[in-house]
Amino acid sequence: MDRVRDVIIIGAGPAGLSAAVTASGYGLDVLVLDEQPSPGGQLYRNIERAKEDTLKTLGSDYSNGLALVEKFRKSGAAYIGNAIVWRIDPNCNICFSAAGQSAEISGKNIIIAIGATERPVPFSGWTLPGVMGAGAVDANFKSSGSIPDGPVVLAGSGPLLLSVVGHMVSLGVEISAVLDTTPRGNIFSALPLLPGALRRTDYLLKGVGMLLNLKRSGINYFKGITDYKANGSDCLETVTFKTKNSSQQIDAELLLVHEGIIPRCDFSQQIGLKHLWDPVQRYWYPETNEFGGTGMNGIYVAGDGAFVHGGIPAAFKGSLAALDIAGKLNVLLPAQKTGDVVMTAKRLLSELAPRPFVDALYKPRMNLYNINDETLVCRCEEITAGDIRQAIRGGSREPNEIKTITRCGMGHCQGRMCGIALTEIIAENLKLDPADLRPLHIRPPVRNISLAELSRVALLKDETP
Amino acid sequence: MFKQYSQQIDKTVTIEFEGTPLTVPATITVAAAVIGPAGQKHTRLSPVNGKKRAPYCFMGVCHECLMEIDGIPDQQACIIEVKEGMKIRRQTSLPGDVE
Ligand SMILES: Cc1cc2nc3c(=O)[nH]c(=O)nc-3n(C[C@H](O)[C@@H](O)[C@H](O)COP(=O)(O)OP(=O)(O)OC[C@H]3O[C@@H](n4cnc5c(N)ncnc54)[C@H](O)[C@@H]3O)c2cc1C
Ligand code: FES
Repeated sequence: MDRVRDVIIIGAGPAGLSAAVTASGYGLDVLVLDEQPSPGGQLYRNIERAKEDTLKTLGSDYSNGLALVEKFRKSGAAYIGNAIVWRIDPNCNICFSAAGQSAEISGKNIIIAIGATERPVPFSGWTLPGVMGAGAVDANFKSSGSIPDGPVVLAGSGPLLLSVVGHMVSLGVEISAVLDTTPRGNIFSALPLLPGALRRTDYLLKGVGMLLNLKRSGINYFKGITDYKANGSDCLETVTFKTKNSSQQIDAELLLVHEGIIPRCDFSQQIGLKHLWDPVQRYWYPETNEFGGTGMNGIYVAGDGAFVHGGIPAAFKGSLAALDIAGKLNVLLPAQKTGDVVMTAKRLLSELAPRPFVDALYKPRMNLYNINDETLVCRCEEITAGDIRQAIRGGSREPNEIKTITRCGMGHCQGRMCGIALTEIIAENLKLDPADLRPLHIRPPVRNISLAELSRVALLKDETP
Repeated sequence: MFKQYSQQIDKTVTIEFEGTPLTVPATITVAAAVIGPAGQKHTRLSPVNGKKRAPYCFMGVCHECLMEIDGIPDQQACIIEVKEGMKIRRQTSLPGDVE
């Protein structure tokens, strides 16, 4: 455990697995850590243990992961599952917890490949039991084979929403309605980007296919809806929403929401990498070069955690990071590196062709964070939008300052659920560009590790400021 | 709120939820067991105001699934799998809110 690895990879999703396969292929000493019990990440979650009927329902997008995981298992890279990483430092030291004990290890390089998460968007009633992420329910199905029992309403916007609807239909889940919040106008801003996307008609046809299936399935499908709300005293009872001409109410056991996907910046923020704001998809992402390299020597970010491009691009991004590391460690000749890099970069580019069109088509709606004063923004500390606005009226304009004053972002999740909403509320109230604000700090331990466990870790020499 | 999909027969384990034994598939997460076979809608009470809360993200981000597992509080039930004999409890940090 103590030897210094050439590269330690955090996350065994498409990006981390490909990085490991590439790096091991050049003879590097690789260790992959992931908090899930088996490799696969979000897209290929639990794939090695998936049942026949699960593979069939989720189709080739999922089952294609088997080949990658198999390659990884044969690659010679070391792997520890059920391992929660909770701190890294710029010297490539990593603390992680497994089986209730924490250890610190060192690498020459770190690839952060922790992927993405569904964008949390506060709305009235979103803390009621029965309200969950749509991708979350997919994840629960992949890991545990569980499916919703009872009438379900799905709401929001984005390709993943349509894909989850498709899965729910195949699984025989009762769907009361799909509430699509995608603004009708998005198509006009997306159209100029269509020619680029036409280079990958396979992707476009897949998207059109999902929409057609939804229409054919006979589900109640509402387009251009606004103001969905979850209502109930102790748990979800009804969902209300507005269409262009009316207000409606539907009974539901579960409301599954999805408003797009954003990078998980846990470690890039914890070690203080520079983050940029994407004005189209409206999220923070760490600044990286074409290899996922960052301003810190030996620290790489790959996959959807660097910028959300999807599973297959994530894999190519992982390989590029590994190639750069192999080049720097002199295990491959410069010409060999150039050849492999050019090939991988070319394939990545082809995968990215449809992305600007898709991102514009599913651009988050303008009023996404028009949150009323009573709605909870910070679920952990129960801080409302009104509390935040009051702090702004009191003269605060910095997310981290408002966190100190209101406690918004101070709970267990460390602002992962409220950080973007906080940024957007400040920007809107003060007529600022979110790009000019700074994201909330995340401090180690970035995950819930008990004080008793923390006190037992013998830390390596710490040179973090 | 949730049920098992597959008709294929699983290995099972017996866990305890709030003191009551419960037989569940061997490879499901604690959170899935609680809102599935255990028939519960919530996994914890908000320590601020005692309101009921349930898993939201199922991927380790939201921390809504924090439960007491084998005596250790604040465990993320959505990323931990069940084990034979595991004892699971809800966290009820406000007095008088235990069901
Ligand atoms: C809920 C959800 C469902 C999705 N479903 C699909 C889908 O069906 N189809 C699709 O094309 N795309 C899907 N995506 C998009 C997804 O981001 C893929 O593009 C792809 O999985 C990204 O690959 P990745 O390797 O970058 O990250 P991921 O696949 O997300 O892998 C990251 C890994 O890092 C691990 N990790 C995170 N933090 C830590 C930590 N602190 N310690 C240890 N390990 C950690 C995670 O457990 C995970 O295994 C989904 C995303 C989400 C959030
Ligand atoms: S359900 Fe979100 S962290 Fe477990």
